[in-house]
Amino acid sequence: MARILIIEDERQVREVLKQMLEKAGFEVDTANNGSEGVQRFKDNPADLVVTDILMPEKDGLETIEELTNRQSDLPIIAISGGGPGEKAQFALDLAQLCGACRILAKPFSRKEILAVVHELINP
Amino acid sequence: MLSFPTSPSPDTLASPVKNRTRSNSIIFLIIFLPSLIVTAYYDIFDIFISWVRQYDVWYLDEVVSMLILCLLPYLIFLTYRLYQLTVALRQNEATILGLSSQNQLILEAAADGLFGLDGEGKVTFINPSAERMLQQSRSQIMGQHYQKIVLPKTVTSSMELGETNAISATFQDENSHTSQDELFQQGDATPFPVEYTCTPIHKKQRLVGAVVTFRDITQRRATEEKVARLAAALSQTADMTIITDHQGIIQYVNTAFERCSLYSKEDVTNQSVALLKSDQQDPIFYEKMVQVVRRGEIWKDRFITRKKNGDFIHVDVIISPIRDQSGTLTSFVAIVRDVTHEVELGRQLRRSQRLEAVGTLAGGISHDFNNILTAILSYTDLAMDDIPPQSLTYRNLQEVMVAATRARDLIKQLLTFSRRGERTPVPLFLSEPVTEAVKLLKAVLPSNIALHYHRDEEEFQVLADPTRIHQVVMNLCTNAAQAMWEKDGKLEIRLEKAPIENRMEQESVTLATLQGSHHMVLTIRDNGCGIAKHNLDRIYEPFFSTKGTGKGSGLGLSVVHGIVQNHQGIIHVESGEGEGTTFQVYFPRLEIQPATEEQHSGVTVQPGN
Repeated sequence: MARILIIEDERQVREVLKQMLEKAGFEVDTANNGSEGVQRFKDNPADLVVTDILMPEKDGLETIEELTNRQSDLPIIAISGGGPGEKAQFALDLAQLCGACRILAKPFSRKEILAVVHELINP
Repeated sequence: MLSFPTSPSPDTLASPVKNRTRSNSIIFLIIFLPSLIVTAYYDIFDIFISWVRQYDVWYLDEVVSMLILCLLPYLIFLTYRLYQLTVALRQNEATILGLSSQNQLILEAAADGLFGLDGEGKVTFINPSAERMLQQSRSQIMGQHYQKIVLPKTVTSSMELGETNAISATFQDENSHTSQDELFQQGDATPFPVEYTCTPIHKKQRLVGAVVTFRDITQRRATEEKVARLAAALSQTADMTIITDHQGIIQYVNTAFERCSLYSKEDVTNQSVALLKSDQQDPIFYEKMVQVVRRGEIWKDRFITRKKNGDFIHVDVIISPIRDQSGTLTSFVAIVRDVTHEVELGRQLRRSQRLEAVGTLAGGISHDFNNILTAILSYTDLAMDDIPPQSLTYRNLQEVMVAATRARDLIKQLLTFSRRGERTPVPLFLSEPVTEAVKLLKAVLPSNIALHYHRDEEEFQVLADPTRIHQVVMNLCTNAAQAMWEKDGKLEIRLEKAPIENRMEQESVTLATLQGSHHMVLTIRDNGCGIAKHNLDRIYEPFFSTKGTGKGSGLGLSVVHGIVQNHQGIIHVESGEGEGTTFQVYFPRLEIQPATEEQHSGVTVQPGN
């Protein structure tokens, strides 16, 4: 079974994502912040990582960078709460530069997130 | 042993002819001698017998007969021996001649130079190669002393007096000597480096001369020098260099490698290059590297390696294969450059870009709102999975989805709208938004905090977004209020023209650049708990907070920082633990180009100094 790692500091978002992806047939692991996320990945590499960008201590961009250094072909989805607008877009562009394959803006529907995940891996 | 040093000369070549004449005479003698002897025998016998008989001694007969009888075979025997000797002599002559011609050919053909010396050290023969190398003809050299050929060596402390070169050494101790670092001189006294061997010639245990074979090593010296230069270049180059054999066993490392990696040459020579692995890369990374170089391709990449003391460094590496003349892969050369500094700089740059991006992401309430909406929409969606679609609950949950989606769209609209205002800051007097904020603060601040507001009568205009200015004041004052929650607080807000002489206590480069320039400065001062000095350079980081969990998002100051930057302003803080805090925000004065009069669209305005 494919494994997904979710790195998100907002509890509700983290848990609802976990539920949605588990229902879709994936094994899901979660982390509260970037450092924990990278450590979890080192201990038990996932097939796909979903990470928020705005997080305390180690933000999503740095997290994405560290993960891609570890494994350059790792599929990463960056989710952002910044909403529309050019500044948020800049952050998303930066995420792509750091190594995220896909960007998704919050709030997203279950359909949207599952579609993106399935583009990258299969359960 | 025949005396050697004489080369065959024309007169000796004639000897076979002479010998043949001689041998013909000998054959004649051999054939006719017996008959001569026999004939003579009788005559002599008769003569002797008659002579002997006259003495009438009985044994004289016998003696003479026996003599003649013994003499005859002996004579025949002697003749035979003479014949043998002649044949042997003839053979020897032929052999010697053959050897001589052979030697002659060898001498002529030898690439090395060869010359012979007699007992006094004078040249007795010389081959064409020697003539060529010494740039002299045979007639010039023959009879010369060897000291005319060999340049005197400089005497070093390890040599004894009198032993100046290998040749004189040979003459002294009658042994062979070889020399590799002496000079011969050509006819015109031009010196050239040689390698030579001097071999003594003995006859009857006496030294009668020597033979010298030599080789011009000018070319070799030049190559040696070139190699030494290349080796020095390799050794001293600032880039680290590692040479391994085709299996990755280290053969050579240069000084730069020793200096950087802290491994000495002895530590790594004959070790596998895998010694330098760090565990910062996947094993796949190293496998790929090995595959590429084994194929004979050049491999370039950046990765992390480990020094002897365990420190990690980033390096750029190029590995090139080396082939020998038959095309077989014999070794690998790796050029390695420490790029830790560049990587660190790159990291810092990206980090500051990130701080900026993330900080501005945090600007506004959209972030929190979107998280909340995600929760509402997603949980509702999930809940609907387990409800029969025809039930009332299902329909109610659908309505929740509708409402949440509406909220999402509304937020989008609001943000787009507010961003439109954000994109074009307008010329304004800061007192407008600041006074508005102060009004609001007066209404919401707790009673233990006394608010004082001062603004200058005269103001410069600045280019700013009023909403953002409002936000700056609100955020800074909220922080101030929270710092003073335990005591009777005093919150001071000032809006003045800058520079303000009596406030410039700290030497700060940024503040120094303001000298003589026109700015408006907004001061927010409290007498609260203050910020510890060691935290001061972190306060603008998103999520950095000294307030403890639950009190604010930690985003307030990063938002302020972002706004100030967008206005080309400067924010300065003075604080200490227990000392209260003063924030000063500088906004540059708006300079309007004299040609234009319109204050809004179409005008070229520059906030400047």
